[in-house]
Amino acid sequence: MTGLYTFLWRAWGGVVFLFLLTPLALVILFSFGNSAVTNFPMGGLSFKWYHALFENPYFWGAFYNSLIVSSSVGVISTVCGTMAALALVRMTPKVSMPTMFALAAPVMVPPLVVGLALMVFYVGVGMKLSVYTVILSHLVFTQPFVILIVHARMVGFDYATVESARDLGASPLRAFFTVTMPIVRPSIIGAAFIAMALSLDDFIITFFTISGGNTLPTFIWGMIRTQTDPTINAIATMLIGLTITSSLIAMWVTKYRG
Amino acid sequence: MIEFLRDRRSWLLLPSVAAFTVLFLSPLVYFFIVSFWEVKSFRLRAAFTFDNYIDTYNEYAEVGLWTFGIAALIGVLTSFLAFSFAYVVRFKAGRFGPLLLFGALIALFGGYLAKVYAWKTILGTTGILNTALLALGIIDEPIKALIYNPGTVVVTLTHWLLPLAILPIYGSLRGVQDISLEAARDLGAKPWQVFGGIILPQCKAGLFAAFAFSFLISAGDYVTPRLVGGVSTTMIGNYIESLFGFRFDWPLGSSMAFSTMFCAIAILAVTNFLFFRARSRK
Amino acid sequence: MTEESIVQAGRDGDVLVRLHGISKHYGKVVAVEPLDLEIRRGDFLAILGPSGCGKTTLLRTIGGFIAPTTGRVEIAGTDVTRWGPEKRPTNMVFQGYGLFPHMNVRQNIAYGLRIAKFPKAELAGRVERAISLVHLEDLADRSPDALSGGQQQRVALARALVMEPEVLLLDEPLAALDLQLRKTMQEELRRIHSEIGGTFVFVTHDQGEALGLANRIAVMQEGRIVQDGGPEDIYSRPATRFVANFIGDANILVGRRESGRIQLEAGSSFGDEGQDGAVLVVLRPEALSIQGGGAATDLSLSGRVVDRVYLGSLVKYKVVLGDDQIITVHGAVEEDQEQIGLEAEVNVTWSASQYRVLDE
Repeated sequence: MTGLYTFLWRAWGGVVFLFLLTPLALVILFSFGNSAVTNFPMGGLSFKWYHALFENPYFWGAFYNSLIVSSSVGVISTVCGTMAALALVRMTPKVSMPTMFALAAPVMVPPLVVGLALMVFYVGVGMKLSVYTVILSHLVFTQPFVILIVHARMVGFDYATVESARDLGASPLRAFFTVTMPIVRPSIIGAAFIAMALSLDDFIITFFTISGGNTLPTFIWGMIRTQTDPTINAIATMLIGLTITSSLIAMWVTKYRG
Repeated sequence: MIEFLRDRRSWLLLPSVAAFTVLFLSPLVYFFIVSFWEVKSFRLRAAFTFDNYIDTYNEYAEVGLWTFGIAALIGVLTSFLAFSFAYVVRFKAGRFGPLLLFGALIALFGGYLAKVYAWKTILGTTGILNTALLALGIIDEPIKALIYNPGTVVVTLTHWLLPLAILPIYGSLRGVQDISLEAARDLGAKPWQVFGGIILPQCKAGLFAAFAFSFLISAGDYVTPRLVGGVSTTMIGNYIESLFGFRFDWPLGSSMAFSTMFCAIAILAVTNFLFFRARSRK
Repeated sequence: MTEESIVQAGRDGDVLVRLHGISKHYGKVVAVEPLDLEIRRGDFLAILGPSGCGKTTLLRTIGGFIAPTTGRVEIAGTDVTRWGPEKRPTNMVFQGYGLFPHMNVRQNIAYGLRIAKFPKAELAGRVERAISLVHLEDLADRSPDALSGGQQQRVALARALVMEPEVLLLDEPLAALDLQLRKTMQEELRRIHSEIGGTFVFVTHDQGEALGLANRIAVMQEGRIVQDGGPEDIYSRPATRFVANFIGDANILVGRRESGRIQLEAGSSFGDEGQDGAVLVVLRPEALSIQGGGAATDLSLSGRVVDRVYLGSLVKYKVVLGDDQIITVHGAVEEDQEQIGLEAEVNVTWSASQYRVLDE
């Protein structure tokens, strides 16, 4: 009896699991198909959509922009976010909780509103839209994740280690780089990869703040609207691969479990 | 406050707070101010008029309600699926738990557009599902109703939001101690009483966060209805976006965006009140 | 059989809980070997043993959290083996307490009565009595998170006691508390047991706790109960070498018995009836006395003092014997004469009633 119930619960978990992953699996599967339409039965396997993609100069432009944006966002938001987390963790919860909540607010605002507000603002103050405005825009929603991740690690941090280092003659800065940093480094690296993955995946905010040029998501958007051929599967697969890889690295270095 | 500023560590907050102020707060405030401006012969002009809000109310109230209806449906569906999944992972799946959770984490970073596109290729008239059903001889001609309707939007957005909703709920379920469940049973509680009296109250906050997030994000989405919703599913986001494209009426677009946000927040506040009052009364 | 058939009746000393051939296997791992145990009404029973000996498994089997692999659990004559914890007339104080974080102290304590649908007035009365029994009057509206470990412990205790269980089960009740608090709670538990009566069963790995609380101790080792008796019994007449070592300090001397006489490897020999073969002689440190020099008798060993610690109420000596074994002797302070210092040659003696022989 309990066996049956357990089985039913697990079966339900399996159904949701499949609902989550099947669409992604199909995108990946059809990117290796050789027919020009994504339907069943799916003919043979080939890399021709990847070849088609790699011969497209616009793809390389978008790829290059995505690389610049996500790596800059990764570095800048990790540095800012880590500094903020270090400051927040030493404050009383009465001060740090509302501050964190406020800094996390951009995540709860629909990207459409954030994107439009930024676009109108940039235009209003006379900034030219480019990949640099995109980088600035991405800081807004990646930084909260860095703060949360590093803060969570720092809450359990034993300050006696830093005090011992100071006691043994290290300057505050030296103590930070020789004691604090090595201990929390996995979390910081993990946060950086999460920030990169989020930046890499963003479409809406990028779309409104880039003007000319493309990143990978806006490139996909253009393709989806004008054509449907498995080249889109190929580029979507690459994007899935990149975001999953960077988040897996993040989980692995932070030893994230659940 | 003075002490707060004198503390050297507080300055570490500066870059973050600066980014927040310059790149989030100021744009939002400026964008809000624009909603009181007007457009004359395709030029933006500073003014102080409520005309945009009146227009929004007159012309888009119905679209807004329809959008909130869809968003609420997505929010409820997503929270329900996320809770049941997190519940299975935490209490029922045993050694399969980590695998299920890992799947949810993978799905978290699948790519937003990639997911919308995936549903387009699955549910399209010549898509994977239809052609598979045809090949299997289950149907004789493609089912056109699979795509370009509100249901497709609900399925697609639920699929995208689900992993994001699973994590906070699972986080709160993980905080439920096993021994507190044993203690409840020891004190005579039946399984459903343990569920309703011990587990559920402890993850209400996570559940509400998941609902609020799904609701807000769906209410502001325009990509999904545009790609898989068809003409019958135009949501408020589509109208807002179009005002910044070829229609060039930023003040109206801004007033629509802020009306949507304020209404969504009001709806969430009411939901929050109803949701948590039930507990405090008990 | 219904729950109502178990009613609080019967006198102290009647068998209340009967475990019959209980065992528990986890796959190939055997946590509890088949064993029998009777718990009598009014018992304050300690199940004592090192970690991993199966004591918690046994307690959880009584509480209904674990279904035994074999055997039967009877409470007040009713077979409850297949009953879940919610039906059994037992309540548990969990290690780590398991308090409900979303309820305040009073709500925590009232939980079980509310589930049992007690009338409001009676519920309130019983909850208030339980609160005052554990002295939590001032904290009743606090959240458990705002309480210290000792206070949380009291809430867990009150939450179980308010149900007026036939058997109160306590899993390592004092393990999480610091030394001072442990002493206070020990006194508290003894006071509560004598105030309300009832049957308490607790699990511990701390022999001091078992001796200080229980009126009966079951010592467990590797899934078996190796000795079951009163604290004095267990202490002064340990049944095995393990029990002797586990409870209090013990000097264990190796010897052989041949035709009614024991020859110790460390020296002396004395008369003791029994089977021929290898034996162990258990001597408690406080049963030994120490003299500088003096004549050797049957019940004495000679040695040399290698360590001496003054502890106020007694002096603790380490004495190395002829076979290089070191034994501990607690000497009373008044006989601590100056000539017994380090390196002194001494005689360690004991009286005929103060040793215990274990056949190997």
